[in-house]
Amino acid sequence: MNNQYKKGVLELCVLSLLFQRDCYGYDVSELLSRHIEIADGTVYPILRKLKSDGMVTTYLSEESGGPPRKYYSLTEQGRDDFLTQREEWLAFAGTVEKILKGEHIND
Amino acid sequence: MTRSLYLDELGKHLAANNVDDIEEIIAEYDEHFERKQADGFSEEEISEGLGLPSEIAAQFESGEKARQRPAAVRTLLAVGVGFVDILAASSAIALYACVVAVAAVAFACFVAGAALIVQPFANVWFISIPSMPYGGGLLLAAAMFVLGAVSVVSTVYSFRFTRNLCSTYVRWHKIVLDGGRLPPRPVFPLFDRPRTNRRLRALMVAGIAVFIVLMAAAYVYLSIRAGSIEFWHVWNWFA
Repeated sequence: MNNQYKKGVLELCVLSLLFQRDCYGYDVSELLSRHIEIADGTVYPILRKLKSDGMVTTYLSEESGGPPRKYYSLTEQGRDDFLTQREEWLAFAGTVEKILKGEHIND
Repeated sequence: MTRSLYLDELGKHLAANNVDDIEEIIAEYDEHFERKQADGFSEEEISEGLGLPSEIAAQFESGEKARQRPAAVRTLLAVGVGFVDILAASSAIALYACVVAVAAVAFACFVAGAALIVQPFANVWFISIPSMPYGGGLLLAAAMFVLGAVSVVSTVYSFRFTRNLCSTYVRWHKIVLDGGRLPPRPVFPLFDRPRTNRRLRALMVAGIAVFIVLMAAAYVYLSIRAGSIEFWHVWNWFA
């Protein structure tokens, strides 16, 4: 699969996971790399870029019996942007599916 | 590759790419090793799964240490941009004035159309439509309403166009003065191309065509009724 294509979609997937609940970076990485053919290390740069874009923020949580670990969570802006982009993607993917199956598309 | 070797390599490549916060990034990958090993993977397997350190490092954005320009350059830039600002502001005012003008056209069309329809029934002081056969009045009114509708759409689109132009300019202004440190807006290049509304475009073209046809029909009708091509002379419109 084309690399550029995957990268944009991966950001959307990361946002979606964080939309459902705050996660450790490791959890996001594991969940995605289990289902999609990507290198395990690909998710961390994405998380970092989302953070520097203001979509995502981090906080430390005190774990009993261990060092504090970093949680990722969506910002207000991240939520809004994610919801918009999810709609666009779903509409796009729906159309693509119809085209690939040779079905008729309603304009 | 062993864990420590991997993290070392990663650190070197990140430094080579001038990435910010290298320690924080390494710590994250260190934790990744930690958790994976707890799940029973070997260091070798984890390294394989992560991908090459050089490739991973390439995916991080290189931070630009805030370039401090010399004060002289910054002042010169500010003055220069200031002059362009004046130019841009006056252009923006002119463009918005055009938007207002188009809106005025829309308003005038609807008022004229309404007046043409109402004319024989209401003797209102501010309606001064020249007298003409009602059929001609109706045709002209229809033409006015169509033109009005086209003008409304034009107003909306010219307003959006001007507004986008202005926000592009503001963004450019900030980037020049900030030395390009604005956070990039999230972009999904696959999905961000503006889509032309083809149906609306076809409707607009049709609208203009209908307007022309209606005006021509009105002219023909009025000429026939007046018995002359210059029906406005026959009826003393401009006496």
